Amino acid sequence: MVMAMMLPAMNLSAMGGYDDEEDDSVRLPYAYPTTLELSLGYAGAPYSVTGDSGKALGVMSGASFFLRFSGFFTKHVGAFIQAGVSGGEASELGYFGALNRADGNKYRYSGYGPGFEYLPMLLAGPVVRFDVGKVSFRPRVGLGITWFGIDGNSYSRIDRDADYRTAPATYFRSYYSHPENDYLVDSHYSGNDFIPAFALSPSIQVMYTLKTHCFFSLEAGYSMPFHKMTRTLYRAEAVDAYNPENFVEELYLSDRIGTWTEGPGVVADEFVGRVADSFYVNLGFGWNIGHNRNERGRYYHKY
Amino acid sequence: MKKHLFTIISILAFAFVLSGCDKDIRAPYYHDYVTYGVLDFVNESYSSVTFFVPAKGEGLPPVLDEWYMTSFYEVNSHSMLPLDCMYDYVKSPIETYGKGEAVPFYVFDTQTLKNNEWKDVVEGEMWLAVYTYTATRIIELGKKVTYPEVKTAE
Repeated sequence: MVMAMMLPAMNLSAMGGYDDEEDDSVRLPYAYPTTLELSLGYAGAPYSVTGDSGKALGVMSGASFFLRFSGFFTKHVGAFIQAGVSGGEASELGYFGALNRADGNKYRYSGYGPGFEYLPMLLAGPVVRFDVGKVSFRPRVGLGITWFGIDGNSYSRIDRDADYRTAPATYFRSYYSHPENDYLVDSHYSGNDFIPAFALSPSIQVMYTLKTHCFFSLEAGYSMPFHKMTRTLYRAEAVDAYNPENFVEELYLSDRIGTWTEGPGVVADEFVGRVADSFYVNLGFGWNIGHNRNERGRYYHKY
Repeated sequence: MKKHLFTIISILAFAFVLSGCDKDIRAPYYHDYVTYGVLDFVNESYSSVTFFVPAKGEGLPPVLDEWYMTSFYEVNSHSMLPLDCMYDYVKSPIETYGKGEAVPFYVFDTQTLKNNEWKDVVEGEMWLAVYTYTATRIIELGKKVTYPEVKTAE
C-alpha cells in the first residue's frame, strides 16, 4: 500500500515532469546554463588624507552599474563578460571632516574633495556557482580594462579662531598626471582625459531565483585599476593682495587693501598606484536563459 | 539666360556667404586691451576747468607734444570725468609716477587754455590751483580730485 502511494511521485521525478505547483527548489539548482543581468548599487572608494597631526580615512561615494552575461560549461564552473560604469566623489562634509581629524581640529576649510570614475570597465573571467535550493552563491574574478579618471582636490584653510573675512589662508591643491608624459588627469576640468588601465575585480554574488527565469541578486566586490600615476601636491601661503608697483596701480588696486591672495606655492611630486580602487555593493535582477538541465535530466541524479 | 539663372544665383549666394566669413577673419583686436578706473576728476565750480598732469620730474612742459595732449582732462561745470588707463597700452604722463610718489594736478580755466598760447600760460602761471597728492591721500578723498579742493583733515 505504501509503495503504491509513492510510485507516482518517483515516476515524475525520474522524468523531470514537475508541475508549476511543485517545489521549484528541487529542480532549480544548477539548472540553467546562462544568465543575463542588470545591476545597480553603491560604489565607494576609500582614501586617506594626511594632515598636521596624522592620517585619517574617508570614502568617496557614488554609484555602480553594469550589465553581465554568464555561461556555465559544467555544473560549477563558467565564465562571464560584463560592461559597467561607476564613479563617485568625496562629499565636502565627509572629506573635510576627515581632513579636520587629520589636522587635529585646528582649521576651517573651503573647497572640494577628490573623485573617481570608471568609464567604462570591461571585464571577463571565471565564475563558480554553488546552488542551494533557490539560492545561488557565485564567487567570480573579473579581468579586463577600464578607462579611469581620478580627480584632484582643491581647498584652503584658515585658523579656526580667526575671522574668515580677513584671515590669511593656506591653499592646497592636488593633481594627478600620467607619470610618463605629465599629462594632467583631472576630470574636474575636462571630461575626456580618462586613461586606460588593466583592471581586476573579484566579487561574491548571492542570487535568489523567483519562479524559473527571473532572479534577484546581491553582490559585493572590489575593483582595482592598476596604473601608476604622479600625484602633485601644491601648497601656497597667502600674501597681501595689495601690492602696487606705481602710482596708478596704488589707486586702481585700492579695493584690495586689507585682503589676501594666493602667493607662490611649493610643489611636491610622488608616485602613487591604485589610486582609484573602489568597492561596490549592487542589487540586481536578471534572467535565466536556456533549457533547464534538470528537466532534461542532466543533473537530476546529484540531489 | 534662363538656363544659367540657377548657376548665377548659386555663385552670388556663395560669394555672399564668403563675404560674411571674411568679416569674421578680420575681427579687430580691441578686446585685447583692458581698461581700469584710476580716479575721478570732479568740478564743483561754475565754469569749465581742465586738469593737467605733467610727467614725473618735469614740471609744466614748455612745449606740448602729442603725448602731452593725452594729459588734459576737461571737466564741465558741476561734472565728473573718470580717468581710465589702458593696461599694456602707451603710458600717459600720470603713469610715469612711482609707488608712494606725490603727483601734481594743475587746474586751469578751460577758456584760459583756449585763448592763450601754452607758453604764455606757463610763464604767466595762469593756473587756478595746483594740488599735489599721493595715492594714499587720493584714496582718503574717495579717489576723487576735486576743484575747488575739498578741505579735510590729512
